[in-house]
Amino acid sequence: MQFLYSGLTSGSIYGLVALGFNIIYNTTGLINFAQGEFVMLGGMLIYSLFCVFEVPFYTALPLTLLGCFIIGVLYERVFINLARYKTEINLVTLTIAASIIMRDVAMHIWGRDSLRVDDYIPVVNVQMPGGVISSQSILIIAVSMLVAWGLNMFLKKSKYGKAMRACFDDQTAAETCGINVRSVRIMSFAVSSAMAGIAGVIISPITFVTYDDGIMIGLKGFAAAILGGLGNFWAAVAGGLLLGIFESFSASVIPSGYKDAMAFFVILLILFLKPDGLFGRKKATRV
Amino acid sequence: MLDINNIGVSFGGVHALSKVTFTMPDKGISALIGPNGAGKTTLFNVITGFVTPKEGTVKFSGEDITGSRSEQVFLKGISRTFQNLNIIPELTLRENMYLGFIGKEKPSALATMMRFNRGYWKETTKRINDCLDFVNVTEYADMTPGSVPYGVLKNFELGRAFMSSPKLLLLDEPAAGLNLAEKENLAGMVRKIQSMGICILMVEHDMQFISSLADFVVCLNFGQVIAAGTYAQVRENKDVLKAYLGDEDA
Repeated sequence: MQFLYSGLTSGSIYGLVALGFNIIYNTTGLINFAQGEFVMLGGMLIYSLFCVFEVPFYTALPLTLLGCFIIGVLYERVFINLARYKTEINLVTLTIAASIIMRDVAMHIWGRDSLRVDDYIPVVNVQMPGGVISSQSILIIAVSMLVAWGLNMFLKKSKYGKAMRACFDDQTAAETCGINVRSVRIMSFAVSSAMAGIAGVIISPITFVTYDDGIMIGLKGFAAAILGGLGNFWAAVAGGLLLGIFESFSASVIPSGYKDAMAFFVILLILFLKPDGLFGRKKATRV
Repeated sequence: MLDINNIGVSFGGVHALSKVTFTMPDKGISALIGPNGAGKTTLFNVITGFVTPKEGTVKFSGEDITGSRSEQVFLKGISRTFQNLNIIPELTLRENMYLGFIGKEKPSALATMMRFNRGYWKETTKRINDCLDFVNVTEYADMTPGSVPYGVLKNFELGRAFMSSPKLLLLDEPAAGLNLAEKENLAGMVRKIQSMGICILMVEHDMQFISSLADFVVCLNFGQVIAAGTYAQVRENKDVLKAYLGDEDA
């Protein structure tokens, strides 16, 4: 059971990152490989505000998310919008380039060392059946689920959510209905960056934050999105949780040095056996 | 209502439209006819901002809208349907119908998400239901387009375009693929829309359909206007006959 609890904690974070991948994929059809860098950015910003400048947490949190949101807008305007030929391969290459630039800039600002972010809540171990779970882990799981639920509501119920879905499914129809596709695209990058920022904020006290954290967490989030099925929000959350649990249990049977390789093993397995993901739906096409 | 002045569009070396000029009347139903490849849909795409002309202007109610983006054209009061259906496959017809409204409405995301603004939702839901009912698709409202017959979807697209209360409605081959009963039903709906004061410009190949509806007809051939006037005038025009039937000397 202990493996299950730790798997659920890391899986919640992978789920949040996978949700960020899904938002951008659902509106632009693009995989943003700089998603992990926004998680790192969330951690770095909360470290600077909360630990260095000693801004109260309830002010530091919205400022961090706002920072990620604004950087997300700038990211879209600079890296995506300025691309002359917006082919998928060009844009994906640009996201990889952007992730490297963000990582290097972070290294120059915050240095190479791991930075410790103070706990937001008192650390207490809660006794559960078959093991213990820390209050921080409970916070991570609760926040992730709350964000996933909120995002689901936003996309299904709000007019912006419907506009986002419309842009992905049929850009021409969306434009004909008066939807500003450009604004929706910017908004999707901004929301997805803020979501990655939330992930960065809530894991920092447990994992600490280092300038190159984004690579691994980004790739694992991507693996979770693939596992669940790209394009489906609850599937991304489920994919994240399954990946976290799988990773955690695998550490009990094989050397823990191989733990990170599990995410990529999962990607390969899914691509070989079920390319649409565990919960992905095949699109029906009228002929 | 709509002034098309000297519009020219080229795709590579192909002149899709050349010096197209006509003025659409302020009221009633107008039709754009011509053989396949005449440039009718291209002209629709120019009017609705999907194609930017290399020359000429499009004026709508006196305002130059040449080169405006599609969503801006929509906000000025021009809605359209497509020759090939453009309905969001992942959304139900009811949700798709809401999209026809969404661009013009400005409630906050939070209000629409949490349903705080009950008055707005009550009014919007009524309008969606009225539009679904108007185009006879109520029984399919909660289905996605993939499981709905083609004729129903054609009607639906008309309803979605009508949903935004446009001043001008562009219909691209609305009767294509419909059987006789469906065409008669469609003609009734088009007349009803026109009676509400909405101008209609349609591209259509079915001459019987056009003769029963259109007050003003423009004929295009090889990207140029070859005739304009009432249906009877255009039908008698020698260039139009030649375009449709071929040259007797050939």
